[in-house]
Amino acid sequence: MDEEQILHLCMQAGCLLLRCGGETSRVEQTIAHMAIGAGAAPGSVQSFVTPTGIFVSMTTETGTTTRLTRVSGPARLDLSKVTRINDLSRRLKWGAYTVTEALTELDRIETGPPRYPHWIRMLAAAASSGSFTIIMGGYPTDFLFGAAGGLLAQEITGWLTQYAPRFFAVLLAALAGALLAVVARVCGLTRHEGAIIIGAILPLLPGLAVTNSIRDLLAGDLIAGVARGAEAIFTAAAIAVAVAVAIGVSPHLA
Amino acid sequence: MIIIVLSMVATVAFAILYQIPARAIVSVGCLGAVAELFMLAAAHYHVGLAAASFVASLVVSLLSEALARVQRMPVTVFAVPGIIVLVPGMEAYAAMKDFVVHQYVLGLATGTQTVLIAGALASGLVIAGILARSVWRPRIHGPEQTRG
Repeated sequence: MDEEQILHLCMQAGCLLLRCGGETSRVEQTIAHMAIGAGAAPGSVQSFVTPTGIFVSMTTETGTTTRLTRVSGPARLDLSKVTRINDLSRRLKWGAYTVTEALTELDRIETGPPRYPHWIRMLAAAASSGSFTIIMGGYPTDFLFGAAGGLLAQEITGWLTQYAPRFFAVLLAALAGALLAVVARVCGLTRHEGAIIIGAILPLLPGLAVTNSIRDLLAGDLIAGVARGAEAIFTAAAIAVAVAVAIGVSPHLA
Repeated sequence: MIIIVLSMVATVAFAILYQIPARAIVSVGCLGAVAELFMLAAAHYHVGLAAASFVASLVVSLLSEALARVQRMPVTVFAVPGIIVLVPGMEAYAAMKDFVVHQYVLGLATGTQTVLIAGALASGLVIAGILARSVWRPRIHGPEQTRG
């Protein structure tokens, strides 16, 4: 049993899981499972995970080793990778992998391409926004505007989060989607700009943040739960401001 | 009928934005349809929106917890896209619109309705989570090692 290697494995898995959108409680649990799978005594590896950093410490007869990693930068949400790491930790615990094999597999998961290529995600953003527009009471022709708005919003956030804080990116993306709906209304192309706006902002909704926040709070990870909740509320507020601005300027465009 | 199909499309497409595994797609689509069915039934029988959202969210979350254990995947894979058709978009939009045109009292009313529905969604998730944690967890995940 190699202490360094176990801590390294736990840290790698934890960071990747956190970046891909795993709950912090899941990260802590995975670290505990992986440590046992890698041969550490049960309870000898303790972790404390927050949305922006991971502490892992391991106690043996010779002393305690602690690692700390800051997790920052834009999150690349990828629930496929979360699932694969989950499987990996389960297999490691059952003894189907050695520590070295697990590290190689982890590397493969980290550097692997996203589950769906970019064009499928663009199509998905358009399809979900268009469908939602009609569910919210738009005419069948409004599907096109909803789809265009959703595509626009999705692409703008994807591009802007590389340079700006997420809230700002969401604000501008929602503004673009909502303005598209308002312009369509002003040009006389639609009568349901509300349904189009709601459809267009769908890809921006903080669904994962809300769900993770609730799950973390339930698991007793209070700090992470409150932090994720704040993230969700800020994102929702950014969307609300953008929609309010779009509604506000619409009478002046006519 | 078309609404049900559209809600499946919206749910699956939203799930793809979160890069869910391919073998979860069918179940996720069904979850979206179940959620929309509940909302349509509620509208038909004149049940309040908040109450309907709570029941729908509870059912979808419980199904998500069950599917997560059957298909061995994180619960979030199912729960996040599953509840997306329940999001009170129309209410939130109406509230913002009322505020912008200075109809503050109307805006407060619709805004309160929005917050209630969102709260009902969250409560459904919370209660399903508590039930799943207390009933299912020990059998599938094994005993917790590090926490008392």
